[in-house]
Amino acid sequence: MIQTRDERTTDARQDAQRRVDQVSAFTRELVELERVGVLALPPGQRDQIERYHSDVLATLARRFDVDRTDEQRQMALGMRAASLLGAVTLSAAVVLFFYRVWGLLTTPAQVTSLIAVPLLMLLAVEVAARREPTRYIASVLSLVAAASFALNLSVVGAIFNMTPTPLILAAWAAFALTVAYTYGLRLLLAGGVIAAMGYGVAAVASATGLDWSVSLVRPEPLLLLGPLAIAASFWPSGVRPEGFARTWRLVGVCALLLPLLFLSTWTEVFSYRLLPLNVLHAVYDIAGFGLPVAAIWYGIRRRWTDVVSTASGFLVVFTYAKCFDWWWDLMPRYLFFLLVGGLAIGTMVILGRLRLRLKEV
Amino acid sequence: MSRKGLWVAAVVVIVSNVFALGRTAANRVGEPEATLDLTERELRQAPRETENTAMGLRLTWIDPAANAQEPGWFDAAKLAEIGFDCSRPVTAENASHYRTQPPRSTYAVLENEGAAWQRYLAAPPAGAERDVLERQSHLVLIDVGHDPWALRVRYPNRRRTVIVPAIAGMAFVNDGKRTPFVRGRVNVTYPMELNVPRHLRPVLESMPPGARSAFNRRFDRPGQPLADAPHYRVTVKWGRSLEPWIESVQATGQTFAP
Repeated sequence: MIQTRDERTTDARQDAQRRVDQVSAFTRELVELERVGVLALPPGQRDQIERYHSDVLATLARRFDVDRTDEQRQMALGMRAASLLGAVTLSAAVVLFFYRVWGLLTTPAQVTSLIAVPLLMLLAVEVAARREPTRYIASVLSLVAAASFALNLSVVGAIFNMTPTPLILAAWAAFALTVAYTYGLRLLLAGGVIAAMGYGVAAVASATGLDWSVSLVRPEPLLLLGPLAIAASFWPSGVRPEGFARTWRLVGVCALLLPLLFLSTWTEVFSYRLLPLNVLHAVYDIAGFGLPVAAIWYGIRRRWTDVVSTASGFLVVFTYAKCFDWWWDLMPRYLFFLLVGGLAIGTMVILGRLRLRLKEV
Repeated sequence: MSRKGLWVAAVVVIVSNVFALGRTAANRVGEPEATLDLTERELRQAPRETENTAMGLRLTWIDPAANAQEPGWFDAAKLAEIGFDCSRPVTAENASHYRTQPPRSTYAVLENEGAAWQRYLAAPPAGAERDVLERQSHLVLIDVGHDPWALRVRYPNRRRTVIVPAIAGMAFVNDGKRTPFVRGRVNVTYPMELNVPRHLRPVLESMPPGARSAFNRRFDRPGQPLADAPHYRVTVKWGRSLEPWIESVQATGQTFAP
């Protein structure tokens, strides 16, 4: 598949950063090998390597704006935090400014400005992306564009007294996913996937006659949507921005596991009750333990640390929730906490032994 | 991904808005589904905020059976008709079954100054004074159903009744003194607030400062002499999609007496 200039730029920058990290790791390991006496390079050769690496790093830094040192990496993290804060505050400014002035406008002027703002923000995103390879400004503007589109949809509905519909979520999801894939923006991707899932849950609720605005009281559709999102992370894409597969995976795992906490503990409240309650209780209890264990096992095999961490965290919370559900009323409080504490220690011992076995392998 | 994604996003924005505007236009084509002449009682001004220059009128209606000690017309049979599961006996043992059912989408029938309002005036709640009742909304909830067109056949007067999208819930009433029962209630009707276009605002903006809150305050203090009648009258039309718009706003000529 022929890549555009920007796609090549994105991939090239990622390759450049990996090269810089590789050189840094090599340099540190070389120092360690010389220190313990395993390796001693002739002085001329050492200088040659240093000169070569110095040229490589300078070229890469000049062409791709990569982080060469830990300080630069920390600065990059700071820039990400600042860009997120900037996006949130700018979005709030746009929304609040509109609310401040819209009552002074005629209806045609209101509608025109509501449609124009997200389109202008899209243009601004494109201009920023062309001028700044790192795309910090573009990511800020894209979030503002997404907020503007959300404002557009909700206020047009208010102007014309329209009945709320879950189609708003579908439209916003389409917008967010399109912009995310165009500019490689993971946060917007996550937002788009979540909105798409929200639409799925709301659509099912509407179809069954429930009030869609409280459709999260019936989260069972997420048990299908979560695996779909995980499957999407495997989709072979000719050009997929860095980190997208991971984002799909993480959102999918959360969507699959989180509802189980509520469905298992309060089945009668949160379930559509397509099966008898006692059957559903058993199914969700088994799934609540089995699915995170499977996710941890597969995540370790594939080296998906985020999946392992998320599933582990869920398993801990779920286990404590079930302990409370099963035992709280059956025994004195001190015995309950003693039991749960023992369970925690037992888990640590098992995981520690598992870790040792993995090291040996 | 190539820059065609930018064009796709723009198309999403345009198509979404075309869809919304087209739906609005289709709603307003042809004869209105209902036309009601409402007053300040039924359309109260929403609190104005410094950060929001829009103006809205809140549709206010009453449900005389809401706090009654019996189910009334919104009983288990009506609840089952709109989709609630009322298959189990209504007993204390099944309280959880009834209390955990989430709200459902439905359609509500509101009647303006009709027979239901006259019955309410004739048999008011204990302790309620007539002049206080008069200052309440004269828009009364009289029925619900899942088919708006069937409801319209049942209530054909388009100048007195309106059918609106609504959210209904269920209350399980068990005070220990009598047999438990379930009663439905309409939580919300849509829209909750009607937008006032700029060209219709002058009448509402000309009301003296404090008029709105004084009107509400007098309503909230039964027994006080009530000199005021509603200050404005609003004609509201509902279209094919059961979405309303304000046709006109007129002052009633009532002066405000502090």
